Amino acid sequence: MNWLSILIFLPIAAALVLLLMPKGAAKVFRPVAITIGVVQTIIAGILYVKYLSNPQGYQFVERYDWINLNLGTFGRLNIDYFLAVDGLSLGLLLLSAFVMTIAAIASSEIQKDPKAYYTLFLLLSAAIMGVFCALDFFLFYVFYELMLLPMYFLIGMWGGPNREYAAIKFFLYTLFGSIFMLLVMIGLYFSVIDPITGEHTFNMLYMMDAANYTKDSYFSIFSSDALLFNYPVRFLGFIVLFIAFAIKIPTIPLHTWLPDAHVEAPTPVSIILAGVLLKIGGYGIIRICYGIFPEAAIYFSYWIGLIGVLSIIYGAFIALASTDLKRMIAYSSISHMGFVILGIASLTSEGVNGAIFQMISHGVLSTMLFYLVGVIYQRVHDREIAAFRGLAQPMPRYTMFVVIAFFASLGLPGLSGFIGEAFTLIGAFKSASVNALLPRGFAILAAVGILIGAAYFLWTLQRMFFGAARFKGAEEWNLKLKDLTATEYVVLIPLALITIFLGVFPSLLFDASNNTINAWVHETWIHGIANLKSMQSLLKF
Amino acid sequence: MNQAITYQVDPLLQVLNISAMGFILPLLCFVILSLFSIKEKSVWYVAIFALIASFFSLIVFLKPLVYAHQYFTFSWFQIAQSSFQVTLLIDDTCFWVLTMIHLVTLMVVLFSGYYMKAEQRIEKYFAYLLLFFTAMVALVLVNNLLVSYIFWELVGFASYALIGFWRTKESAILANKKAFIINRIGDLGFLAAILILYNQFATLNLQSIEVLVQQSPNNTVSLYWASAAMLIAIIAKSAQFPFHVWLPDAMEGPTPVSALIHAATMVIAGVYLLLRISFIFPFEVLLLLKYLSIISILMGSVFAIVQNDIKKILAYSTISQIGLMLYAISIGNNQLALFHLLTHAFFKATLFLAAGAFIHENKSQDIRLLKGVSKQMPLVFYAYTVASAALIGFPFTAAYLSKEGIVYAAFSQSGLNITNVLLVVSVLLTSIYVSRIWFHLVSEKTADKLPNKSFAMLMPILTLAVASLFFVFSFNPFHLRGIWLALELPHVPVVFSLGMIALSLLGVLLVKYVPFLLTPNESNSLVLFLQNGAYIDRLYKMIFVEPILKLAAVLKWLDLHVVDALVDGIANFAITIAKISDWFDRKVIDGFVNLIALIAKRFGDLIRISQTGRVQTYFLLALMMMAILAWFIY
Repeated sequence: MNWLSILIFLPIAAALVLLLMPKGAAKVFRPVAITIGVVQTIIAGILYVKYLSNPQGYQFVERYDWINLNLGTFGRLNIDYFLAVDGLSLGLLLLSAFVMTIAAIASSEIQKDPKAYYTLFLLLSAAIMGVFCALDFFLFYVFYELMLLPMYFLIGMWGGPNREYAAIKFFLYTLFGSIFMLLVMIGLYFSVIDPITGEHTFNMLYMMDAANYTKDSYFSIFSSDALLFNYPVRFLGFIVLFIAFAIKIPTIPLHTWLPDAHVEAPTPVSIILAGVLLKIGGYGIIRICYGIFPEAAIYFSYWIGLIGVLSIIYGAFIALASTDLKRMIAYSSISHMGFVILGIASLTSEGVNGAIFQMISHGVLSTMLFYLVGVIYQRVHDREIAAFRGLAQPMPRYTMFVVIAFFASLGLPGLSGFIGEAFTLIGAFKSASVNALLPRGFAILAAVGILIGAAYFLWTLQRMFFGAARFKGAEEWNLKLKDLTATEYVVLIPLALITIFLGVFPSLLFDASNNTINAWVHETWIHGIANLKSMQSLLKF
Repeated sequence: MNQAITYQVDPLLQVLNISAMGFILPLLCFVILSLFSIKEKSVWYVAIFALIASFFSLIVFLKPLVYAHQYFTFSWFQIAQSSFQVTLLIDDTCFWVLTMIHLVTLMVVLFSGYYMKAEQRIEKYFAYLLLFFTAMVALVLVNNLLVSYIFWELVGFASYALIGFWRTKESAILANKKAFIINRIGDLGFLAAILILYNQFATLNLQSIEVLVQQSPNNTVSLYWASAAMLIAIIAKSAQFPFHVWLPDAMEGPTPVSALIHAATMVIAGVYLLLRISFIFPFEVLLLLKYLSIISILMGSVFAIVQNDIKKILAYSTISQIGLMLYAISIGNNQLALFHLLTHAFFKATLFLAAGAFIHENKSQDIRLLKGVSKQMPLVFYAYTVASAALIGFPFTAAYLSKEGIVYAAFSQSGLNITNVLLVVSVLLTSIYVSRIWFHLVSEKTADKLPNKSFAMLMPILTLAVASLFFVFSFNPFHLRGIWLALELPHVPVVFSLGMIALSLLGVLLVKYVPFLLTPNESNSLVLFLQNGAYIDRLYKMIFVEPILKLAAVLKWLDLHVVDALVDGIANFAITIAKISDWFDRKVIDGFVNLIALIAKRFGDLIRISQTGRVQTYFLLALMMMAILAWFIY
C-alpha cells in the first residue's frame, strides 16, 4: 500500500468532494475534516508502530518518475515523486496528523464561509504531510510553497481585526526565504548527478553524498574555484537555506511575523501554526541544511548555537513582559524552539534526539496552550492578562488544564517539556568535550531561559487564575465564563494525556528516532569534517 | 552505562514488585482525587488507608531488603549508546528516613481531618498531600540523579500546590510562586550538576559514579563544578541562606502542610540528597557549605527571637536546624546529620501541629494573643512543651542526643574556632526563642479549658511528641552509644553534655528574667530590622526581580520598535520605492509617451481647424489655393 501517498492525497480528495457539495451542507464540512484528520492520525500511527518493529533507515518508500522533460542542450529535467520516512520525520508526521485533527475540532468557532475554510484547511493538511514525506527536493519545494497559500488565506480571511497585515507579513517573510531556497535548489540540481543514470537529479539523498557532485560544479566539494563574492558557495547555500528555515522556526531576529500571525489568527490556525508549521523549520534544518551541507553546519555551529541560546532567552524575556496571553505564548514558542536549534547545533545524539523530542512535545503543548487561550477568548473576546483575576473560581476544570499545560511548558519533570529541554541541554553541554562545537556556557545560559520560563508562567497563573475572582467585564463576564464544554474536554484530555505519557515514557519517541539520529549524527560529522578539510585545502579560507 | 555493579535477583525483585503496589496506592489516590470532585469525608479515610498500606509495605516488604544491600535497576529509555535507568537502593539510611516520612505524613493527614474539616476542595488538598508524600518517598528510594531530579521537582510542585491551596488568598499565591521560583534556581543547579556529571562519567547512577570517583581521583575540576552546582540545589531546597526567603512566606499555607514541609518532605529533601551525594564534594566546597550553614544557623535563630507569629518563629527555627544538619555534613559527619534529621522531624512536626491546634482554636498566630493555651488545651500544650524541650536540646529527648553530638563532633574535629563558637552561641539563641514562645503561652492562668477532645487532633500530636523522646532511638537518655540505629556516633564526654545543658538553661532563665527578650521593643530599629528578615527580601526584589522585569520591558520595547520596526521599515521602503517607480512610470515614462501623443494630438487639433465641414469654406480655400498656385506659376 502506498500509505504515504494516501496520507497526502486523502485530504485533497476530501477537499474536492467538499467543493462539489452545496452550501446547505455546511454542517458536514467540519465532521469531514475531523474524520480525515482521525484517519490520517490512525494511518500515521500504524506506520509509526510498524516502524518501531525495525527502526532503521527510510521506510515506506514510494518512488516514481514525475516530470521527465527533454531540455535539449541542458539535458533532461528529472523530477521524481519520491516519498519515504525515517525516525526523524515519522514522529513529526504523526504529530502533524494529530494536531490537524485537533485543529479541525477547534474550528467550531469558524462561521464565515465554511466551504472555503475547510477546503483550504484540507489543502494545507495535504501540503504538510507532503513536506515531511518528500525526499525529492523539487517535490519538497512544491509542498513547502503549497502550504503558504492556504495559510495566507486562513489568517487573512478568518483572522482578527488586523488580519491582512499579519497575513501579508507571514506570506512575505516565508516567501523571502523560499525564493532563495529555490536558487539553491536549482544550483544543487545542476551540481548533483544520479550515480545510476548519470543525469542531474533533485534527489535529496544523492545531494547528501559528496561523491555525487560533478567536479567543478558550483556546489562541488572538490572544486577549487567554487567561490561567490570570495566566499565558498556551499557556505552561502547553507546560509540561505538556514535563513529560510530559521524564518519558519522562527529564531531571532527573524521572528516578528510570528506574534502578529498568532494574535490575528483564529484559534485553529494558531494551533496549526505553532503545532506543525514551526516544526517544518526544525525538520528542514536537520534534513536539508545539515544533511546537504554538513561542513557548513559544523563550520557555523557556534553561531547556530548562539542563535538558539539568544532565542531562548530573548523569547523568554519578552514573554515575561507580554500583557496579551496569546502573545505571551507566541513568544514562549520562540523560546522553546530555541532549544531545538541549540540541540541540533550540538551535533550530539542526545542533543538532536532532544531537539526532536522538544519539537513534538512543543507541538502538543502549544496546541494545548493556544486552544486554552481560545477557550476564554471565545467566551469574552478578551485575552489581556490584566482583564482576568481568579479565573480558577468560575472555571476550576479549565484552570486544571492550564496548570498542566503551563507546568509542562516550564519543564516540570514527569511531563513532556522536561525531557526535550533536558536532553538538548545535555547535548549542548556534552558538545564541548565530544566535538568541541559549542562552548559549555551555552547550556548554562539556556538554563537561565528555563528559569525565566518558570517566572512568566507562574506569574501568569498567579495573576490570571488565582486570587479573588475579579473580571474586567464584571457581572456580564461572570455569566459568560462557564467551565469547559464537552467538546473542549474532548480536545484537552488527549492533549494532557499525551503530555503526561511522553513525560513518563520518553522511549515512545526515542525508540523511533534514536537509530536514525545516531546514524545521522555520525554521518553529518564524518562527512562534514571530510568536506571541510577538502574545501579548506582547495579554497584556502 | 556501567552495568557491572548492578545486581538483579529475581525473587527479590518479586518482593519489590509487590511492595511497589503499596507505594503506588498513594499515587493512585492522588490521580483519582485530583481528577474527581469528591466532597465527602471519605476522602480523609482514603488518604489514611493509602498511607497505612504504604507503611505496611515498607515494614513488611522493604525492611528485609535492607540487608540485601542491593540495587534494583529498570531500563527507562535509551539515547545514543546510553541507557537511562531507574535505580532503586534500599539501605539503612533510606529505611529510617522512609519510616519517618511515613509516620509524620500519616500523622499530618490524620491531623488534617481536624484542621481542614470545613474546607472547600478538600479532596484536592489530600491529593496534593499524597503527591507530596509519593514524590518524597520516590526521591528517597531512587539512586539515579536524573530520576532523583524528577521527584525533586515534583516535591517542589506539590509544595507549590499546597502552599497555595487557599488560592483566593493573595499572600498564599504570592508565597507559592516565590517558593517555586526560588526552588527553580536550585533546580537549575541540580540540572547543571547532572550535565557535568553525565558529561564526565557518562552515567547518572549514583553507585556507578561513586565507583568511578574512587577509581580516578583526577576528576577534581568537574567535581568542583558539579558539587558547587549541587550545593545551590541543596541550599535552595533546604531553605538555607541566601535562598531561605521562601520558607517564612510559605507559612501562608495550611499549618499541617507547614508541618510536612518542615519535618518530613521539602526541606529535608536537600539534606537527604546531600547525604547521598556528599562523596563528590571536595573539601573546599564542604568548607563553603560550612560557612553558609553557620550563617543560616545564626540568622535563623536571631530572626526567630524577634518574631511574634508562632509559625514564622518555627519557620526560622527550621532554617537554623537544617543548617545544623548541613553543618554536620560539612564536617564529614553524615551519620549525625541523619540522626538529627530524624529527631528534628518528629519534634518539629509536633511543634507545628500543636501550633496548628492553638491557631485553629484561637484564630490567631500571634504568640501574644495565644497566651491562654496552656490552660485551654493542656494535653496539646504538654506535647508542645516536650517538643520545645527537644528543640532546645534538653535531656530525655532524642534531639538532645543528636544536637549534642553535632556540637561535640564540631569541637572534636577542629577545636575552638570561630564557627564552633558561633555554633555554641546558636544553642543559646535557640533556647531563648523557644522559651520565649513557651513563656508567652503560659502567661495567662485563667483561660477556660476547651471541651473539644478531637481524636484527629490529639492523637497525631501526642504520638509525635512521644516519638520525640529518647527511647524511640536509644536505651540510654544521656548517651549516643545506646542508639539502635546502626550509626557510628561520637562518644560525648559528660562535662561537655553538662555544659550544653547549662547553656540551654541559661537561655530559659534569660527569657524569664530579661523582659526585653520576652517582648522586644518594636520601635527599636534593630528589632524592626530583624523582624523584617534583615530586609533581604526587599533587597532581592530590588537587585533581581525589578531589573529583570525592567529588562524584559526594555526588550519588549526593542522588539516592537526596533526589530519589528526594521521589518516594517523594509516593507515601507519597498513600498516607497514602488511608489516612486510608480510615479516615475506614470509621470516620466508614461508622460513621455503621453507627450508624444499630446504633440500629435495638438498637431491634429491644429489641422482640425480646417475641417469645418462647410462647402463654402472649402470652396474659398480651394479658390485661395488656386490663387496661390496661379501666383507661383505666373
